[in-house]
Amino acid sequence: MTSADPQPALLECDRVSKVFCARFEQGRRYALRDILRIGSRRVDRLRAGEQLVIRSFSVVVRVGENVVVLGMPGSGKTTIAKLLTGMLRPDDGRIRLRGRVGLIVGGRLGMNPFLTVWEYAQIATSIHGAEPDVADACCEEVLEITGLSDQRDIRLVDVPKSRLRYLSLASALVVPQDVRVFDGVPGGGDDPVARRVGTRARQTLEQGGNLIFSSTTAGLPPNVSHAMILHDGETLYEGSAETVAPIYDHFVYRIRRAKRVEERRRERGAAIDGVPAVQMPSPAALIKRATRGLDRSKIALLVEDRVAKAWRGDQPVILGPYLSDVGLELLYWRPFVAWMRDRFGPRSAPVVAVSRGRVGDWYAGLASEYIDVCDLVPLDVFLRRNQERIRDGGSGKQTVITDFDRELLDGVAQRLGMPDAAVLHPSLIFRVCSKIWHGTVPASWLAEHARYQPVATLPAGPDDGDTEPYVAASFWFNSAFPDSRRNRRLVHDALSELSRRLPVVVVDPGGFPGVPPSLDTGERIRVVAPCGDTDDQLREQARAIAGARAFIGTFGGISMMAPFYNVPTLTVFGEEAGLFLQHAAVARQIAGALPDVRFDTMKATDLDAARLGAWIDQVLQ
Amino acid sequence: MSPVAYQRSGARPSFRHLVTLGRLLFLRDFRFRYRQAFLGYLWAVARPLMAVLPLILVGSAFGLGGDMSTAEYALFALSGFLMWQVFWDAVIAPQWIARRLRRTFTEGPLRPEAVIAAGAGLVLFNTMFYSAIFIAAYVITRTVPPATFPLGLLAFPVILLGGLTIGAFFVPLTFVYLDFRFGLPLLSPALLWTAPIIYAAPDGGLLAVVNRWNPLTYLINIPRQWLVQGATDDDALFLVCASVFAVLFLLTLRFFRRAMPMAVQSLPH
Repeated sequence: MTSADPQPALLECDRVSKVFCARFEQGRRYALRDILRIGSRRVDRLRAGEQLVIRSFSVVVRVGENVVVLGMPGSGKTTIAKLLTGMLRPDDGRIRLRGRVGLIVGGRLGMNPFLTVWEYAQIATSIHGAEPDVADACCEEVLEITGLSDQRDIRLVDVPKSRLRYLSLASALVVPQDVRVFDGVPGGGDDPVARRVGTRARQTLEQGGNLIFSSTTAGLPPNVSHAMILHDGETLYEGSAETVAPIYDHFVYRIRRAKRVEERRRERGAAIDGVPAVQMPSPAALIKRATRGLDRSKIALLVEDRVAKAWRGDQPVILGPYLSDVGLELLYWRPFVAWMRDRFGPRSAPVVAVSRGRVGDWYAGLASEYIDVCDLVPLDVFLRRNQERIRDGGSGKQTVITDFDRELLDGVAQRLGMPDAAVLHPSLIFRVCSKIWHGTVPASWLAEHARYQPVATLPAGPDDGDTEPYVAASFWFNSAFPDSRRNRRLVHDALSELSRRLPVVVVDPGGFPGVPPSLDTGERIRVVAPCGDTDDQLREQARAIAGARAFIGTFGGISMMAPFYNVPTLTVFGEEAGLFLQHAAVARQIAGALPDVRFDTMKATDLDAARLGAWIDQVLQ
Repeated sequence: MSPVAYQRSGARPSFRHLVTLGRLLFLRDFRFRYRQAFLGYLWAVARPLMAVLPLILVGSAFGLGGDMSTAEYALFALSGFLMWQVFWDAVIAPQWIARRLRRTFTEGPLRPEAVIAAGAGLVLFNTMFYSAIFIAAYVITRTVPPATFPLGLLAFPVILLGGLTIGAFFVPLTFVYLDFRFGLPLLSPALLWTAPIIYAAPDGGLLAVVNRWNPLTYLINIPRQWLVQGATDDDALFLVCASVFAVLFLLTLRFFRRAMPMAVQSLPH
């Protein structure tokens, strides 16, 4: 073999297709017929209710190579993984395997609570193909990774469930295979077991010979030779990982955004009113658009240049007007302003921050002056015009300078007598963020252009005097923390656990579901009204949060205030919906940048009354 | 349209792996089945024993053993029934085990053949207890084993294979429709009573014809004769029957491997 010869193929999948029946009963009837049929069926003749879920999928994995298939949930990744490992039978195409193939997947594969830990490790490794001569060594490694070596003879029913979480996954990882199919990339999680599993997975990925199915570009191994984008069972794009990853991120962003727009349209009842539906671009068109977008990601450089020119110039600088969500202000805009100050130093000419809600404290030390939007227009005008801005733009984020922004900027210039002031509008950061969320600008740009600093001025508590210690909470429902029985239970538990220890101030951002009637708390729970009643309501809410001994609330929005006021914070989420993952990544950076304050984010399903209580007790100590 | 193919070359899971996996899955099933039973594994023996005792008593009273003495008939009927039970266990066991592994099949790369291996493990385990009962019956009836006794022992794997052949055929079907599982036990009395298992084979009449057409007559009755009475005139038919079941087993295995992924696909996810 010369150096130019390709490595031998371990796995060859050639135009594989798979048909599923959408209806269960009908599917069973077809299954019985197919089982008893002599010969194979033809996929070009679909029966009623059947659909092609995988269309002519082809991939080759060679010795030492890693190939990645990226696809959103429901795109067919798991089905292909099952086809390649023989769990399902392809309806068309050809699969050739050279050697042993393993499926790396978590779950509770074959788990039975009446087995001992060792017995289960034997079963799990054996299911994954461990030969008898290596089985004991594999099991020992599984117990070592999962930290269960000292509990090998204990029945699973007597081991805490959380300790069993990685048993199956670890079993899949340790069994020697020639080629592995990863249904998701293991890793993530802060506990030692998750880290050991992640390390073992990385070792496996470094060796190559892996086909990796993933719904996200996060956590992919560095040595990927080829990547593909799968959507609705069809390969939309393939190429090098460096090219495919940003295109996929852009694609996911566009698809989700289009779905959100469609949902909003339905909520508004547009369909009922006969308004034609917004034509959603085809996935192929979105991929094409993303490919073009890769060449146009110079926005980050332009923004840096714009900020540098304005800050280094002699004229006054207006920062704002900021009109959008509190959470975005604290996660993105204020840190960006702090970066400007840190990067370019203090200015002799004025720097005027313009925002709403009387939150001048947030810009103390960053700007020389603060002007509130409600100094320029009455509160009701602001609320109405801001709603119009959001409705017209289709998003709360300030990605463009609107007429309302211009009117406010004119008002600031007039008020301060600075007609030649340079404007650094929030659209600067949100346009870059948009590119980051599309995947056309690296996420590291944000970390490099943000300074997370606590708010220097700490306002007093809600009563502006000597108040007894209290804790704060703020809950509302959104796509990442949907209104469900479980989440309502969590709100109940949080308020209950908090109020048993200290009085609770609930900061209502405008969607608080209310204090559950079952909580017999007397005077222990007080609710601060939502913004909109007065122009300083946001400041009042900030005061309530800043004075608290601890804070628990829905991830995002006003909950983001708490860590900046050095208040131990626990934010919760239910689903990784919308831009949650992007915002959560920034929240982690904040937690790292503010070492003196505890800032945790947890999934609602991982929290119960006991864990909540333990967290509160810990931070109140 | 290219032909469908799933080809493997190079190293592949060994037969030892299959046996080990089957043993582990049997263990898993066993632990689960008797998890809340105080008497535990005793139930595995008690059920067939309690089923056969009344049959022996009633059969003896009604003269099902022909000209056999009560002790001879007891040993005859018990041995026949236990061999039948081995056969029937082999039919049912793969389904019991497969039903409890449905989720595992949908979640991980479980070799389908392991279900048959685990079923065989369950049958062998039960056979140990049946053998103990059988030996006890020899002692109680003071019977001296005939010279053909070792042949009777050698027939056990064939009976097991015969049961597994039918059982393996039905496993994928029960994944799709439970009716096959519910319907299969209805077949049990028909098979049991149409073969001379707990009664002496009649010399003529309709029952003799029916006996002749039931393969269990050769699969069970002839080895049973080897165990308790000695050689028969039809011994060669056992070899024919064993060969047929061996071929059928290979065909069923081929069908089973092809059908299981389709059956798994039909399971609700």
